[in-house]
Amino acid sequence: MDSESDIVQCKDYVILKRGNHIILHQLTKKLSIQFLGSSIDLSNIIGLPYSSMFRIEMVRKNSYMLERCNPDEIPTGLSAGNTEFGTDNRNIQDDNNAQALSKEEIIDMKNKGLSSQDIVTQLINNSKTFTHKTEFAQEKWLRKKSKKYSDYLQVLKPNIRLLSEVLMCNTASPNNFKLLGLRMDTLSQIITFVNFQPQGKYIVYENSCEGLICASLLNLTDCRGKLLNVITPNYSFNKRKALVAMKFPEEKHQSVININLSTFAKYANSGNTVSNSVICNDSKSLENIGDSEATSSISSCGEKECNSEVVEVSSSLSTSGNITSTNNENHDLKRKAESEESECKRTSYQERENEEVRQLLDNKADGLIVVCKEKPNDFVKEMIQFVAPSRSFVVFSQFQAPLIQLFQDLKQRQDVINIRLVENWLRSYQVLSDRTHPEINMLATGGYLLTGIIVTNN
Amino acid sequence: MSFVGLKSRIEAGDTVIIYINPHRMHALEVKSKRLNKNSEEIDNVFQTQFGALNVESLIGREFGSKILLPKGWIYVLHPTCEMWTQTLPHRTQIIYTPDISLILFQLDLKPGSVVLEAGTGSGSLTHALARTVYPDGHVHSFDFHENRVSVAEIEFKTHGLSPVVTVRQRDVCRDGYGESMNDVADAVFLDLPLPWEAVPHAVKAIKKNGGRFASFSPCIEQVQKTCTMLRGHGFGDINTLECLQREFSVIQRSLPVLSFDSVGNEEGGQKHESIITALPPLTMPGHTGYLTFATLPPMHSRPLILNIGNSGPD
Repeated sequence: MDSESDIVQCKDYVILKRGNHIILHQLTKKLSIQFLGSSIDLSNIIGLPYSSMFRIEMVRKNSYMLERCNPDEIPTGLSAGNTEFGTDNRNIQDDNNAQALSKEEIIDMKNKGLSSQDIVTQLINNSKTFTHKTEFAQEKWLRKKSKKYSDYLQVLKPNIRLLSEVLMCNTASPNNFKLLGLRMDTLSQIITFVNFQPQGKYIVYENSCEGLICASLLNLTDCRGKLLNVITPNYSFNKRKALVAMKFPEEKHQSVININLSTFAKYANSGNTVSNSVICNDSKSLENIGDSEATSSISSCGEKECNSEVVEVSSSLSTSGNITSTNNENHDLKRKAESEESECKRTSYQERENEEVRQLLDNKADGLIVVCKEKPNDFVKEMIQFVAPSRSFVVFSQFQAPLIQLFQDLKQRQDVINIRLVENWLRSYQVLSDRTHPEINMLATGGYLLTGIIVTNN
Repeated sequence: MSFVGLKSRIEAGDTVIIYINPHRMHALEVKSKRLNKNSEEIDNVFQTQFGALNVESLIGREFGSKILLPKGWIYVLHPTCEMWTQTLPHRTQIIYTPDISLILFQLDLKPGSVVLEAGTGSGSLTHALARTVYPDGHVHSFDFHENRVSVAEIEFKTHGLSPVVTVRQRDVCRDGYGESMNDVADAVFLDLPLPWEAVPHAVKAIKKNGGRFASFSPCIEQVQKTCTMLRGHGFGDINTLECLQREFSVIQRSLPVLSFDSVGNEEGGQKHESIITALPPLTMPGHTGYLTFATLPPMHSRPLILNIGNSGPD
């Protein structure tokens, strides 16, 4: 019944879920992880189908292993047993004396390998106030405990929804957004705003989203679709983590073409031809793209106005501080072209792909997606020329200010219509009978989106 | 044509979007004749504030081109599901793009997915579902309203969605999805007055390998009943969300400067400074509906001893 991709295999990225904690982990030879303060041996999950449930069993103090379990044995929550309950909290004092067990005693129970239900029963028996709490307050307390002390763990196969959840949450410092604060509702709208079609050809630039944007788009791409992934020389593993975690089939990766930012700059400035530029297929030669590759400088042969903008793009995009001086542009460019020539052995395959990219750029793309930490304005204004008429672009920023500016600038142009700047509001609900209300905490922002449609005026 | 797939030039039979301004868009079918109120065939002419547009003259034009009319110009655009949602004829309350986006995302849909939708309504969501699962997937859409089904069917055909969308007249709550839908679905979506009644049918329709569930309901009572039912039928990761979108106007304003210098200077001489800011709308929809999502695990991890006794609505 299970296809091979539904079975947990070594080297897979897996999502581990325990209570309401969720982490992304790559299975390596060393099959143990630290999860909520305990060391868990994962060897028993290999070879089993994804979504399997496991009971966390103690081997010795602080060391646990996983035992596959029947989903029916998993209690839906912890139970208080048949205790009485109070009507309100008028007799409950918040004096920290309610629990007779000390912290050490509780930890000791944990170290002895008692189940969370046993621990909770002990906690209840030693609590002076538990029976005075209302039924609802008791339930809430139990819910909190069961989230904290879950004895069960589920292994899930990474998908875009789970990756966006797991990559976004930063439990270590909640105020420090990961993924640029790109919330799932915003991510979902990037895809609809750009009218993402499985067989379309899209240009995408992402930075600081761990490859999630590219992975989301590739997940929605059919074998006839293409993603032109704009990369900068420091395109490291961290920028494609989600792409790897998704474990797409090999043929899927054929849909991604990585193109250096400099290629676009050259194409834009040199009368629209792709030449001597480094283009490579995602799966084939990513290893070749390292920090060793020089930051590309900008050709000086374009129009003045155009040129200065591109230089700015280059400098704002370079995070490594490896910015080539623009004074010696011609010289640098020549040297670089030579080194590129020697560095990259051009096969006929690559030339064919060069040709393919040239055609793609000549025929223009079906959309442009920009999600980055940089100020995207100059880049977007340049890249619009690569988007076909009646197709859309969408730009995400964590900040509103640059998008306000971009809105104003694009408004002046004749070739962009229907410019919109939006922000979303998302909240989740606790749904329980008689106790339904919004969750106490919510993410206050999910970032800003600017979108528009390209038109022709002839 | 062309809600799934993209092309660059307009052909006869295409649906196009006439763009006048962000708040004035119209969807048109490109054909030479249309029927008037008295069912007589007349030339297909579309009236705009800038003058009349002979719709047939659009054939051969590039999508995204500017069309000159006697008193101004308009743009003719490639249709998208989002613009269709903005322009479609309402036969029911519809689901809008922010909710649609979240539904597509939370249902884990991708090319090749099979999704069941009930009810079809005005087909706003159906278009977006079709675009996502195209070309190998399928949308099975159900509605109990005979006329809505037949109108939707024609519309999907005109829009080129027929290869990926099948519409059927059926009361899913009462009759389920039918034998042929057992174990076919990767995802199930409900937009029904009594969604909890369809939950047991959804369980049958979702593949043995598991799948995702979504329900859109305007009222919290519907949500509560649905969540109780989901818990009783082996669903996990039950999550209810609400999403609203705020659209800003970018404006430039000149504000008088208040400072110590401006004292006694109110008449005429006060300094002004210009600001550029993004202004949220004065009013906006404050509620569309609650979206409830859940996962039905694969068979091997699905609880079988279900607490059916407590699964009924409270």
